[in-house]
Amino acid sequence: MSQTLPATDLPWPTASVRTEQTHERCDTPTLAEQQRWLLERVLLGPQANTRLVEERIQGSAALSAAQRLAIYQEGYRLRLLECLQAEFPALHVCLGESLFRLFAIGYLEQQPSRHYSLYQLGEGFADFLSRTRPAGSGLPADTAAQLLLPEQLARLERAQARALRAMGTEQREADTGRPDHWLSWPVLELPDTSQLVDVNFDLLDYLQQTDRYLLAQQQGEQQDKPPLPAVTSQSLLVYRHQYRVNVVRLEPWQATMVRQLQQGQPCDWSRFAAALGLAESELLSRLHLWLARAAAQSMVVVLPS
Amino acid sequence: MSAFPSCSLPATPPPSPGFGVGLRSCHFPWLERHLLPQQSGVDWFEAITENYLDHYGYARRMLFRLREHYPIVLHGVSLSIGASEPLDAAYLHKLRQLASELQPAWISDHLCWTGMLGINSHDLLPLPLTRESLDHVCARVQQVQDYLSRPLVLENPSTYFCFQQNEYHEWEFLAELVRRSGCQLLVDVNNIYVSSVNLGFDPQQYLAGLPLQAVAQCHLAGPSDMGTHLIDTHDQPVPTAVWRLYQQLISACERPVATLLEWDARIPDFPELVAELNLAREVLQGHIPQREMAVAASSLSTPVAASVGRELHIAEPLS
Repeated sequence: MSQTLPATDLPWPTASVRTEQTHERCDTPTLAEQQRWLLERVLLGPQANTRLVEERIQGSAALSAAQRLAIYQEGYRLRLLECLQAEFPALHVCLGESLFRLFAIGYLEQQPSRHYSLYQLGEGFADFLSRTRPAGSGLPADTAAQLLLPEQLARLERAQARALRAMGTEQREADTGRPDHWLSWPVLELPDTSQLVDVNFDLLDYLQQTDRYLLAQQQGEQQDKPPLPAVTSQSLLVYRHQYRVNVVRLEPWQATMVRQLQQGQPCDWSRFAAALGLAESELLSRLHLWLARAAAQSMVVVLPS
Repeated sequence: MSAFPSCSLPATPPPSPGFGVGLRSCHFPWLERHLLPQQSGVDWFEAITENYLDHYGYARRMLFRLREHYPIVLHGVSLSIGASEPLDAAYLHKLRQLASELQPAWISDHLCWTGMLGINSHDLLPLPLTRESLDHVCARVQQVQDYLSRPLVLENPSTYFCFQQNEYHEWEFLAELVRRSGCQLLVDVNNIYVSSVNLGFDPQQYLAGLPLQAVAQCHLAGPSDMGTHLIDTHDQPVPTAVWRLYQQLISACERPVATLLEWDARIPDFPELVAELNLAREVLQGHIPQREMAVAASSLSTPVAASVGRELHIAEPLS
């Protein structure tokens, strides 16, 4: 029996995984051949099993070779699905079990983990959802807009996961603080724990609702699933303060400034004020009012000037 | 120069730190309030290595706070010592860096492989137990030991199949690996039991074949009964059969062995976990709990999602 597997099912170039004759021959396979064969079987799942399973794996009356292999094949999917669900709980609530599973399995098939840490597993999930989003042409505008929801929610939850682990400001409070004085432009830096996420939905409220919903579920209480979020533009800043991850909505001028910092660019305050249509003194005043809270909460770092 | 030349006798395992549990993030709030050993009731912790590599958040802070009061062991799942590809240099570099900062009592991982072609299955996949594999793993253990400047401690995984081409039983493979590489052993008695049921060997024969002088640690956990086989789910109390094996192992070693309880799904509150751990002390006094193994609530071996979830997003604010 021989089969050529469709390229879309494979996480590496088609030429390297072709037929049973090449990789499933059974004349004393080397360690590398055995491992490659087993990894292919695990990634492709039980539907790709062939008669050579019995030639490579010992079965028994209680459990056939294919059933034994299936324990690893099913375990692989279940384990990684569980991890994605743990990292994207609001997306899981939003999509529901079957749709989330469909997207997650598709993601794992296209982009199997290439990192030693499971924390990296969700890194490309939002982009995958974006790439696989149906074209909105021909759909009513509001329906087309709703198609953006999964990827934006995924991007927001991934930002939260990053903020949890990134180098924060907890160990560097001593050399940072508030601006030297209220009349000067501050030198700002965005810590690795802060990330701006622009969305087209009221995701701040939705995240809070899903947290409450999931907590109620954990405690065995009945609660209705949160309704889908309203369509509205938001710039959300995910940040960490004293090891606790938070999300806050930014005003447009704050978002513009944070976006610039996120791109590693220093703020050109004169141009920035002109672009916003504000007098520099007005911008300076707004900035210092915001920084009093933003710096204290580790959203941004004020560097010594 | 190699600190652990090939064919040397295994270094004597370090003294037992006593009875410990696997460090899990859901227990951090409780441990914040019961930080000291006399408050927590455990002697030491085992931390999953990969959860702390590249991590600069609350979990790392807790790990290092606990380290001030407890011995900590780093237990890895992604070293992939048996993979036919080169060792992951970035992983090893970060592991050495973490070990340098944390000063763990020892570093352990599994006799398995996790992937190839750059892909990580995040599962502990079985090795063909052949001469080729033994040569390969011996060489890699020595590379790792040289790089980390310490003996590597390797755990027997739970297994659901054997390769037709196997030339060794697992205990024979481990004994030869210890003899040739100088590595030490983490004997998971739950895994021995799970594999013995699944593969049909005698667990007594397994214990009798192990080089007990190289045993640095043992693991306890509760598997699930799937009817036709057992799954290493770590989601329930330790069954009688596993307690018996534990008693036999410690008796055969004729010395205290570091004992660790693993629990990775449906994790109980910390005091309940400690109560289960304390049964190990009673087992060594001859009191073996009588328990049936539960029918499976889950079919997922070694669940890991609890460690990547968002529970810390909603953790209590730190004082």
